[in-house]
Amino acid sequence: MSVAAGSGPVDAPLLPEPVTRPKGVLAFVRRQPLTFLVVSAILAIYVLVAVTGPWWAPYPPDELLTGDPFAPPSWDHLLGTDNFGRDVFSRLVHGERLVLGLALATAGLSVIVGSAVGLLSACLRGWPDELLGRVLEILISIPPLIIALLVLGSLGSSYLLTVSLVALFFAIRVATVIRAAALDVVVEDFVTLAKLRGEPIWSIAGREILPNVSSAVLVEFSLRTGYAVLFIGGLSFLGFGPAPPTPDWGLMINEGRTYISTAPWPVLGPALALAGLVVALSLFTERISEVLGLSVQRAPSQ
Amino acid sequence: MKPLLEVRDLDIAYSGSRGRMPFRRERADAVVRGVSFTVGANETVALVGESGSGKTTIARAIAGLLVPSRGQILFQDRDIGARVEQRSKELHREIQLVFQNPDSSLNPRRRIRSILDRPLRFFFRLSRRARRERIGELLQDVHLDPRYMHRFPRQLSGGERQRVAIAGALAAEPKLILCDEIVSALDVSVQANILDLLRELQAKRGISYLFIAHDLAVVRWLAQRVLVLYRGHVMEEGTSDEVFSRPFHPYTEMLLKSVPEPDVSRPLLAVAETDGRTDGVGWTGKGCPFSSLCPRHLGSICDEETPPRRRVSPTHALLCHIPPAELAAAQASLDSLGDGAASHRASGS
Repeated sequence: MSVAAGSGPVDAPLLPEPVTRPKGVLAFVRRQPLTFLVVSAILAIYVLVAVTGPWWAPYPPDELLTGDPFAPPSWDHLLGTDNFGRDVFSRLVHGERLVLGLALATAGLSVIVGSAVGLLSACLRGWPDELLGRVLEILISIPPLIIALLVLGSLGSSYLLTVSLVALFFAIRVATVIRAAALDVVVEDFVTLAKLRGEPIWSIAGREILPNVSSAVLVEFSLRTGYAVLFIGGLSFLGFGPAPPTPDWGLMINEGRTYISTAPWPVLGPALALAGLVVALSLFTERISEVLGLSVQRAPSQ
Repeated sequence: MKPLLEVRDLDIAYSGSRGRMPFRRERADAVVRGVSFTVGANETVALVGESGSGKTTIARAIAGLLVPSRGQILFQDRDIGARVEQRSKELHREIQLVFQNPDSSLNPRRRIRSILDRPLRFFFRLSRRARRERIGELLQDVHLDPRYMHRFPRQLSGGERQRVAIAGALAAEPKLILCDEIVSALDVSVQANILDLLRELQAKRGISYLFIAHDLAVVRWLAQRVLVLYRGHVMEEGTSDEVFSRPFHPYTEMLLKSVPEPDVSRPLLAVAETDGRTDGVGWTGKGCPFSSLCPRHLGSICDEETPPRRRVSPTHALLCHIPPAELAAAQASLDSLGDGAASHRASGS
């Protein structure tokens, strides 16, 4: 073939369509390890209960004396009753919506704010980024629980305040993770080309960088949901959550702990439900990050 | 005719402080010194030199990614020495840059149609349908099947990806495309195809190229004019034919000699000729920048005095203490060299 012949031939589309593993939901499900399937099923049940629970729970959450106080588990009261004779199982079911809702709202807010900060910081580069990176490092060293107790103690607790406060703490951590992921992307030439085109910074962050860090964002969301369940549960347990008689799990554990030696059920029920949710979320996160080729950065204590 | 791009007496220094915290200033080292050249409409000018010679730096300054510390960059008689953020949208459109590595210049998470759609949407007011049509045309312009638009970059070969990158630059309908080593990462047969494509696009659309390369054969075949850079200095400049025939600047001579040839009996680089002088890493700015490696080193004059710029013809000049006539005489045996560098290409056409 003559090199200087001007119009070269069209590159023949010799490439076959990429061959991939069998597609379809079923094939994907079959490839997953058993733990992941079990964990997903557990999470699905949690969500299902949260959505439909109030319609089929055997008793209203705050009805007194549905049976004898401190009744042990029976067919009438699957998890027994508490000191007021309220049905622990019904209270768990009713409280689930609150626990999951607050956790998802917190995780969602923290991921949105944290990703935005992390992406913009990485896009700015140079000294603004370095300054912001240092500020984030300083903020990360602030112990969240102490500040949360201080703020909620002085301003009074509300759902909005709790969610925004916890989301703020989490957003700092999300921002550092997303910034680190984005810093690997901003050096790519397609980002330089977008800059040369004169694209505004939010457009570069959103169109060019975000799609390349989306798996990190997803993993952060899943991870933060688990942490939020624990953290908000902890706040409720300490009395900085909703007021009685709200069937919040943390609050239920607190209320029941006085009688734990004689009647463990009112504590065990919500404690196990909380633990199950957190463990399931954690295992779920681990697996999806594995699938997405990321490693979850585990914080020592949240 | 007025040139499209004119670079006058350009100095560029990387100040070590860029991208660092404020108040931390480091000594700035000039990597490009006193470079001047022009690129006319419909013309291809090549910058050649080894890595570190400042060729990419010059392209980055023209694109607005770096601010020159001295000198002017004129585009259509307007000074465009400003950073890219301060430039007009029109200017962003008229100067496009194509990078060496298409793996990095195409966003791996976007389909080809989305990659090509962005400049169309950004620069032109076109309907969705018109844009989709244009994307098909652009792919055809770079000899790709329009159906490729539905693919992701990783589903294309390296050469195809570089074509898409070129199509992305064409989408903006530029007057000047800065090609930064765009064929270096491709194998020889794909290189030839891409170079064909560049010539064809130039003939069709009258685009000018500033072509940066280290492969002399590629440059000789594509460029009308050539600048040979060493350590940020223009050592030799002229038309493609002039630079690739006697007299050569000693550095050009060395570049031509270092082109690998089938003759294995000859060493790649005649190190012995430098009499044990080492690469001028610690060049103090005195004398000729190439003095420490020069095979035709004269003596202390080369180390002490800045060499004069000698004109061989109105378009051909070189920076050397040795008069062109003497150089030409000394290089009489090398006449075949310049041809040799381009021979594998010439035999193809």
